[in-house]
Amino acid sequence: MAQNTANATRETSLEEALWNDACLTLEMIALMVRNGIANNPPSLRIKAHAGPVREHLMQRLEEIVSKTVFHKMPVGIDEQRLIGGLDLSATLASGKRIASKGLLAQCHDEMLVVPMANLVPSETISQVTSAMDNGHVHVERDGMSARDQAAFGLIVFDESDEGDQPLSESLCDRIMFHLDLSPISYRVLQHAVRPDFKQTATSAICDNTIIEEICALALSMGITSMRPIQQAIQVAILNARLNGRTKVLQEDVLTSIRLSLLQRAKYLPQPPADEVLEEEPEPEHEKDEDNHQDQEQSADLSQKPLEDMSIEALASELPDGLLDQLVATLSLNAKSMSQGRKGARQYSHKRGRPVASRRGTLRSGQSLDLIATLRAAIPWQKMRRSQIEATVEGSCDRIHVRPQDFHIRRYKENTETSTIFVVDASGSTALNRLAEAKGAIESLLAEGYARRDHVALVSFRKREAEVLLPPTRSLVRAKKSLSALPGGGGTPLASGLQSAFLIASEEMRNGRMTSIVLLTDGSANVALDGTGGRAQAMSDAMKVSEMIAANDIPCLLVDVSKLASPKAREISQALGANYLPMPFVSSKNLSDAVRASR
Amino acid sequence: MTQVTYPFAAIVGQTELKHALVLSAVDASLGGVLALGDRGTGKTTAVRGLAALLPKIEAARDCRYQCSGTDEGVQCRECAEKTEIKSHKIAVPVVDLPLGVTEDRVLGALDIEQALVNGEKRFEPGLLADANRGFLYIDEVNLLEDHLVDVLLDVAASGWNVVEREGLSLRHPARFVLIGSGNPEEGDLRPQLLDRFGLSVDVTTPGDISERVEVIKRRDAFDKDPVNFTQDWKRETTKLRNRISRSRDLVSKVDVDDQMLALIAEICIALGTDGLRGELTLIKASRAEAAWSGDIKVTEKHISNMAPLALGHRLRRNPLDDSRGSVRVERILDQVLADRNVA
Repeated sequence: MAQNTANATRETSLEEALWNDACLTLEMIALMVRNGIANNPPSLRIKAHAGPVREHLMQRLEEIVSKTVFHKMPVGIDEQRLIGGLDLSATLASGKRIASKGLLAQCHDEMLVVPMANLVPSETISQVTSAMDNGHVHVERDGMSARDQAAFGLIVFDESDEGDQPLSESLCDRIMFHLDLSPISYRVLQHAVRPDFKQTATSAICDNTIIEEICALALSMGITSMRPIQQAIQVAILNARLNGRTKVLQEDVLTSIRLSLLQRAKYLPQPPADEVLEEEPEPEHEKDEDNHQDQEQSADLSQKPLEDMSIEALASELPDGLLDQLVATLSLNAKSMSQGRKGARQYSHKRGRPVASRRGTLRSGQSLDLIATLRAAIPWQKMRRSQIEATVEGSCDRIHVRPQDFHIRRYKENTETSTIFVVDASGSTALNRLAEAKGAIESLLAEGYARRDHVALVSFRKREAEVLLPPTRSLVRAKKSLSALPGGGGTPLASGLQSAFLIASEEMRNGRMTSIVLLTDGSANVALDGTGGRAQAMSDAMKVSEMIAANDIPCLLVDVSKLASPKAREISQALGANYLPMPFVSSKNLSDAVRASR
Repeated sequence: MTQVTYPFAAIVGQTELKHALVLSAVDASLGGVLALGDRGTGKTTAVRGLAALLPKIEAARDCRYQCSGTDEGVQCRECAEKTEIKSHKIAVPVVDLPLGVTEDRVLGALDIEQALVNGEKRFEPGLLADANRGFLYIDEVNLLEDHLVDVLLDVAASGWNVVEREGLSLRHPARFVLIGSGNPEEGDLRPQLLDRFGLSVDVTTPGDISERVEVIKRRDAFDKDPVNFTQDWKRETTKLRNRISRSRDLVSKVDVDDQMLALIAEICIALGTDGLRGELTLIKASRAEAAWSGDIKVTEKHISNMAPLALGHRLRRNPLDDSRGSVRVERILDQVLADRNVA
């Protein structure tokens, strides 16, 4: 099993191994920078919060690529500043059209750093990815048209935690290196030394077997896009070059998988040997149930001997603990990666959030957008001035604004609604009614889709609740996560309600009308802290219910037990919810009831 | 700086997408192509490649709308007033609608510089003018602002851009093939926009490893030496270009008999597509398909080839039916054809 692995890594701790990888990445980026950023821009995602470790890494990078300029992108950057546009004051002063370059164009052949990238609005992300694809920014606005070169290196700080908005997937897809610094503590850094690469090769070739291997590995990790493959090949070539080789070897592939693909994997490739499996902790194993199907699908791919070898080698090369950690994050990955985040954000204008102002007349209750009005008036000044000078004596050096210049501020009205479905997927329900519940929800989703509602999906079973789908308007995604909903296990009702409450408050903050639809039989038997016991479970559930009621969140409780359950009724009273026993429920009147409960 | 584009002929797989794009080039009135699908599947590459592939067109010199010298019905005012039009050959325009584009640049607006310097009122054509007689490509069409979508739909339907703003009043031809791409997981498309596209294609990543390897290899070869790579594919490119030219000449001669018209109507009724746009598109698409295969008569085969592309996105969305539109069309198609053969 240990054919070609330097087993030294096995002895180092997980943290050190991760840090070494991070340092190796920096060397690769330095190599790319030396060849000219604009020729082949490096890109790096760092999964970590602000802190000494990240700080240290950035410092180190700045030392290594000493002459490179780093530009920071403010989180709330506006479009004009990002891609550029008309420089109004310069245009007026010179009488010629003068364009101002945006941040992206300013970063050409330099580095762009995006902090809190997971919070950057999707419109901004789209601009960045489009510049990455084209190597230039295409500006068509304010009566000017320009194409500014914008081939920049990119460093993205992904500060998302579980439950947060994940980093945009279309951005992730275009990033070459992916590092997770979160498990590293500062003390590891003290005895880390800069890796020593004396002789680097100027180029390295990658033959077809290696390309085939990377393709197969990526597919077996659930990475379907073609971009990551190209990136992994590049990383393998860089690794070979760093080690002074002119040909890519197996070990380079392993490094490239670690640095480029592993963090984006939706599931781990199934190794043929059982030894590796043992390293996976048992409980996590169950959690991954929904991925198993995919793994089985990829099993026939792993028949290929070459790939087997790499998976084995990969598993043996990974330091202890990394595999465990990966398995733990993978179930999260599989969800968040397949979802992206744009659907949830894209049209979600917060209450009263201004949108582009339009030409219009002033009426009461509307406010004037002064800048836009002036911008509309300015081109006409010369003409208007000469008109006025013809009729009136003396000079007029005021700005002449006419009613047709008026631009009115517009706000997106708050009419959006959001429905959070909380589905009891415990053993008791799964046996009885889970399939029916799914059917009812599907038809509700269809209704919601027609009304352009936002929909979120929380399921609870076993020990705690799981947010299967953060609020979204994408029907495709909602249906996907619903069909993947597994059943069985205990009934952590309180935990389910708590998750729903958290989402509901977030949605209400976003100015949406929010309601919760709870499908359960009410027989809670797992308490908030994950322990069993009916009494504690029930009292926890009641507590959370009262909290929801206190926050005035409209609820509907659908009792899915065969005979109406008194417990469910009790919960619904605590929630202040409408109570609807399932025997009388068709999907039609369920959806009517949901609408009525708002 | 001219960027060499990846040759269309060298694109691995994606046969449906390539076919739809080619047909929209054969018959520009087909209503364009909508490509929806995963990330990193080469949607953009295909559209850019198509532009380089198309035969050049004759356009009037000094015309800002590249008017045709011969087609008098669709000329701008200046060209229509001229007695004699000198024309030259130009590449088919392919215009990108970039993200963050403002309305004034789409429709055209007052030339600010002229207004500032000379105090002169002059129209500066926008992207719709640039796209006249060519292609208008919108990447991430589902992220486009609603009011821009409205404007585009309006112009695409009429073929004329009517400008009444900032004291300007004029109209100019804006006939373009609308090509949109996007990822449905990043936001749904408004149904009105969906219906406006002639053909739609679901783009997926190749699942076959050898195909994926081939994609990577060709891309790598192209990145290393774009000029030579393009040269290597020149023969294929020319072949494709000639075939498009031939089909264009042929398409107006293709005949659709009553029996075939009845079949098309039957399919549309069975699918329950709203409105007649689907039916008209299927007729046009089948005609283009026939021309592409060198036939002068539309047959059942042409229709069944085109129905999924022309109708897949026009079905009323059924959230309980998981399959893609094109699959549902195929299902119904088999039924209709089977019934017909029995009868």
